[in-house]
Amino acid sequence: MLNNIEIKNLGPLNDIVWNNLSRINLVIGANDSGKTFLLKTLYSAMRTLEDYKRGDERKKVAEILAEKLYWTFQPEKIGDLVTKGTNNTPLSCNITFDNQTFFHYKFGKTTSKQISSIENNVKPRSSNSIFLPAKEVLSLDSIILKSREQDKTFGFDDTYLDLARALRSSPKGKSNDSELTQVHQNIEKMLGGKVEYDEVSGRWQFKKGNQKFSIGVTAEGIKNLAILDNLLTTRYLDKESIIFIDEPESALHPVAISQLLDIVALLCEYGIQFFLASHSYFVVKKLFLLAQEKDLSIPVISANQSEWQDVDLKNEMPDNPIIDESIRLYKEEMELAFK
Amino acid sequence: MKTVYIEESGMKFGPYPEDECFRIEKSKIYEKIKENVKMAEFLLLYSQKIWIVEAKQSTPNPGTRPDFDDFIKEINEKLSNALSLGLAICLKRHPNENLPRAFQELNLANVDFRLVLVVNGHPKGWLPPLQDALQKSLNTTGKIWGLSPMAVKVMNDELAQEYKLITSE
Repeated sequence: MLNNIEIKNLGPLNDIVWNNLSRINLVIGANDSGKTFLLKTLYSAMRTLEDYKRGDERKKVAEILAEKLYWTFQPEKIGDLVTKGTNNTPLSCNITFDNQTFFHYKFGKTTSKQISSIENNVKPRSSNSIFLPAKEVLSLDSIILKSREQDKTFGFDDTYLDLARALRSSPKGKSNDSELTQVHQNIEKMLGGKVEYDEVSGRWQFKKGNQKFSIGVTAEGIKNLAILDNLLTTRYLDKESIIFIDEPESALHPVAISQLLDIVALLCEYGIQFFLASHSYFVVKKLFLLAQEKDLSIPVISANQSEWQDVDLKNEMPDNPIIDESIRLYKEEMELAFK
Repeated sequence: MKTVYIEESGMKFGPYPEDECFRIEKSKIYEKIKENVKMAEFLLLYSQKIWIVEAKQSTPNPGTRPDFDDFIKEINEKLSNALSLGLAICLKRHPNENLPRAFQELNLANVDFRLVLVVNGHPKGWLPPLQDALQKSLNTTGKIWGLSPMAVKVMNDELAQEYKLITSE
C-alpha cells in the first residue's frame, strides 16, 4: 500500500506532500487543478513497479517508467512533464510503499527517454493496479486496443489500454477466498446481474437472469461496478491491488454513487487501496459518512489555487469549493425566494 | 418521572425527563449576563450525548429578511455560547445555578455533544446546505472542544418529530 507521496514540479503539481495515506484516499479540486494528473502519476509509478521483473521482463525500471509516463501522459518527450517556468528545477516523485520501501525518480525538462536518477527498493509485485478513467471503456475496448496495439497512436492513454487489456485477461482459476466471494456476492446483488464478454459478437453484454443486454444500452451506473466485478472474478485484482478511480461520479445518479462507494468501502475492508479524484458533492458527503460510520481514516487532499491542503475526513470536513458552491447556490435560492 | 415541554418558534419540544433537560436560556447566570450575549434554548441529555438546541421559525418575512451569513453567524454564536456556558456551569464555575442532577453526574471529559438547529417549516431539500454552512462556521469551535465531526446537525420540525425531539400539536 502507498503510505506517503512527495511530488515536485510535475505538470500542475508544483509541490505535493501527502502523508499517512489510508485504504481510501480522496483528491478534490476544481477542473484543471491536477486531480487526474496526480492519480495518473501514482498509477504510472505503481504499474512500473508491477511490470518490473514480472515474468521474463528484463527491462530496467527506468525504461519501464519512461515508457509508462510517455504513454500515460502522451507528451512529445517526457521532459515536457516538468512544470513550466521552473527554470532548471527537475521534477521529482518520491513514494513510500508498505511503510518501509520507497520508489524515487527525478528528471529535468531536457529528458527524452533516459531517466538517470531513479531509486527503487520495492520488491517485485505480483498484484495488479488499475485505473478507471472518467470515460466509459466497456463499449470502446475494441477501438482502444486497435488504436494502441495496432496503430500505436496517441489518443487513448495507458490507463485506457491497461484497463481494456485487463478486461480481456483470462480468469486465473477459481478463488478459494471466502472474503472475496462475499464481496462478489454483494456486488452482483447490487448489480442484479453480471457483465460478460461475448466471444461470438466480440462485445460486452450485461447478463441479468436469462436475459442479455448489449453494454451500449446498459445503465451507466452499473458499468464501473461491473468492471470491478469482472476484474475480481478473473482475479486480475487481489488484496494488494491499488484502484484509481477518476471521477467515480461520472454519469452516475447520486444513489448509484452511494452504491459504488459502499462497494469501495467493502473492497477496502478486503485490503484493496483506493485513490479517488472527484468534484462531486455526493462523493465527498458519502465518504465523510463512511469515515464516521466505519471509524475509517479517509485522507483528502484538496487543491486550493496552487496550494494543496490535506485533512482526514474521519476528523473533519475540509474547507472545499464543492461544499462552498452548494452553500452559494442555497443562498442564491434563498435570495430568489424573496424576490 | 416528571417531564417538561418547551415551546419555542412554534414547536413543542419534549416531553423530556425534567432531570435531563436544562433551560440554559432561562438560567440564573444567563439572566445576569444576557446583555449582548446570545444563547441557545436548552441543553438536553439524549442518546448519551448533550444536545444543545436552538429553535428557529423559518417563515420568510420580506420585511425582516435576514441575511444568510448573519443568520449563520447568529446561530453559531448561540450554540457556541451555550456550549461554553453549559460546560462552565457543569464545572461549577457558577455555583448558584440549579443544574439538573443528571448533568452533575456527567463525565465531562468523554461526553459527546450535538449542536442542533431546528428550523420550523424549513423544506427538507434546503437542509443539507444549511447544515454544511453551519458546520463550516462552527469548525473552529468543534476543533477547540474536540467535538465529533458529526456534532453539527440541522433539522426541520418533521425530522425533529421523527427523532422525538418535538411533539406534534
